[in-house]
Amino acid sequence: MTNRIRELRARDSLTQSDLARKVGVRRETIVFLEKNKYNPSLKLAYDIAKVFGMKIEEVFDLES
Amino acid sequence: MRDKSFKIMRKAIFMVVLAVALIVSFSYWLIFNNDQMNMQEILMIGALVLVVGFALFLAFRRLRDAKENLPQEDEMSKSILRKGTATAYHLSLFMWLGVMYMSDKTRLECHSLIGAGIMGMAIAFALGWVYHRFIRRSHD
Repeated sequence: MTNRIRELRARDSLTQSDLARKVGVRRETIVFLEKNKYNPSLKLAYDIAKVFGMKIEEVFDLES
Repeated sequence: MRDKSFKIMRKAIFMVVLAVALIVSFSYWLIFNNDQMNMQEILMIGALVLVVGFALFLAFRRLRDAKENLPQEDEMSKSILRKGTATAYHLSLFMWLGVMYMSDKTRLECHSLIGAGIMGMAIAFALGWVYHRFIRRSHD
């Protein structure tokens, strides 16, 4: 699974810590997500998509 | 939230104080112990340094997260902890088998063997955690 978190974070001028704080996880979880080394739970994926004002499938790509 | 991070900081400070107390009491023993150290004592020192170092590392991480107002654990850290614990459990099974075998071969007292086993379990947990956190590529 790949995602667009890094790109969307840059678009909204958010640091990794800012995003981590908004979705209630540790900063290193965001680091691992951006490196595609961690697949988030449905709730975390939903929370991240919500922060960027998008749908889950627009942020996370299950195909690749 | 403020109350929660105060709790986290208190826990982390307690871990640091405990680690420092261990180091100080151990150094005291080291300085005033006039006997030559044997291999068993050197191994115990190495194990103690590893465990205390690991505890300090975790405590500083907690303090840093509390300072930044971030949670000290989340779904990924819990997953790593779970996997690290499972790895430590498997390692411990083999280690206790080794300890049982060694008990016949050495003249160590029972409490020394149990102490070594407990220390070994702590090291197995630290190694399991480090492996899943830093070496394994995926954290799913």
